[in-house]
Amino acid sequence: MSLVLDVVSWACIVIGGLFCLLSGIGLVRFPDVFTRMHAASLGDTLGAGLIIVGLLLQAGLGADLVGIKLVMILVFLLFTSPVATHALAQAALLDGQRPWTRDGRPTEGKLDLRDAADDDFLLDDRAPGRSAFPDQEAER
Amino acid sequence: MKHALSLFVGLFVLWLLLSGHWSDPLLLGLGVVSAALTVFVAWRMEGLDHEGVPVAVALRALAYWPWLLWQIVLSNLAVARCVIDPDRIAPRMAWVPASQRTDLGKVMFANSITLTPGTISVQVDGGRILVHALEPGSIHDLHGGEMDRRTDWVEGSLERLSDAVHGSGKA
Amino acid sequence: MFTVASLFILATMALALARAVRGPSVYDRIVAVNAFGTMTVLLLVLLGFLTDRPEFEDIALLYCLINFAGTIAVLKFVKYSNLAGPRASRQGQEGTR
Repeated sequence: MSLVLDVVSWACIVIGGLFCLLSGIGLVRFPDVFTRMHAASLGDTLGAGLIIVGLLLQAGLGADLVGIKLVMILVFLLFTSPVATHALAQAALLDGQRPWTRDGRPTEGKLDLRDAADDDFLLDDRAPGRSAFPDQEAER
Repeated sequence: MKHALSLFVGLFVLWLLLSGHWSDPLLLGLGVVSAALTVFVAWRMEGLDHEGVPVAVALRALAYWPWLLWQIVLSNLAVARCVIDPDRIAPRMAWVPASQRTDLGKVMFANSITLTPGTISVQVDGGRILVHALEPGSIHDLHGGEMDRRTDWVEGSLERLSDAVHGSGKA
Repeated sequence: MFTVASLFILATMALALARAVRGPSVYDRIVAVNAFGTMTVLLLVLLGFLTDRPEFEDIALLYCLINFAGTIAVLKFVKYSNLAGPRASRQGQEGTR
């Protein structure tokens, strides 16, 4: 039983490490900021997840609370990484970084968000008289 | 009050788990003080509402996670294939409809999109989200609306609750 | 086994560092540094098991939070050249880009 557990946890740790390595390779190989973010999120999700699950199988929910700390690390990573990625992507787009596409066309989504220079409302949507979601306010 | 109490209990349990000292009265007392201080600061920052402390959606969110984890595994494999063979990628940006009504629901949907590798939510604008995808297929999947429906369902528990609160005149 | 995973992670850190040095725009560098931070967390966790010292888990937990706050702070500083936010940075905005 413990042998099976060991093999499974080793497999998890090594495959997680491989996913981290893939995310690093993608970080170097991909052509622009946005695609590199996809590569980086590879290591943030499955890379970190598999490594921590593998270590959990090794440690169990041990007496010195190692397992619980591992779970907390995983949960914090899963909560913070999308927020950081989203903030980065939005800042990069508003700063004028244009996404790379295969055929050089700008992309199908409309890129000129109303006014790129006027992006204060993104951080500060409670400013009086200016709402970040005008349509939604109208619905209420 | 409910939010303050649940935040306090959560913080204190966190303190206990991180410190590992269950019986030392000094450390327990310090834990109570620091948890109370944090709740006070949160109250001063007006963070003690259903958005800051989303206890109402916790149950359904737990039921939503396994499906989300499975999606994360699938899209990880897709992105890993793209890393090995970069000729596969065809990045694309498009607006995806989001049917959530509350801000919290939109946050959950946008975070789920970003958490699955291969799609990043770049901007939220009313009822739609600007998504950057590594492969056009993932945008197609998002238009299919499976994730949208599921986050709607998680958000549903919040709405029933706020209806009840608003109905009792507490606003 | 822990050693193998640690070596993978060290290789990833080297690649991320290469991107941070090369990256044409500031945002490339921030993405690379963020990935580097995540890898540091994983390396710390593995190091705790490798040397049999569970204290490293606490450090990793802390580093995980600092990494997030640091990324957001650097992003805000790059965007507004001011950690306080957009209000006070009207004059400084031309300076950053």
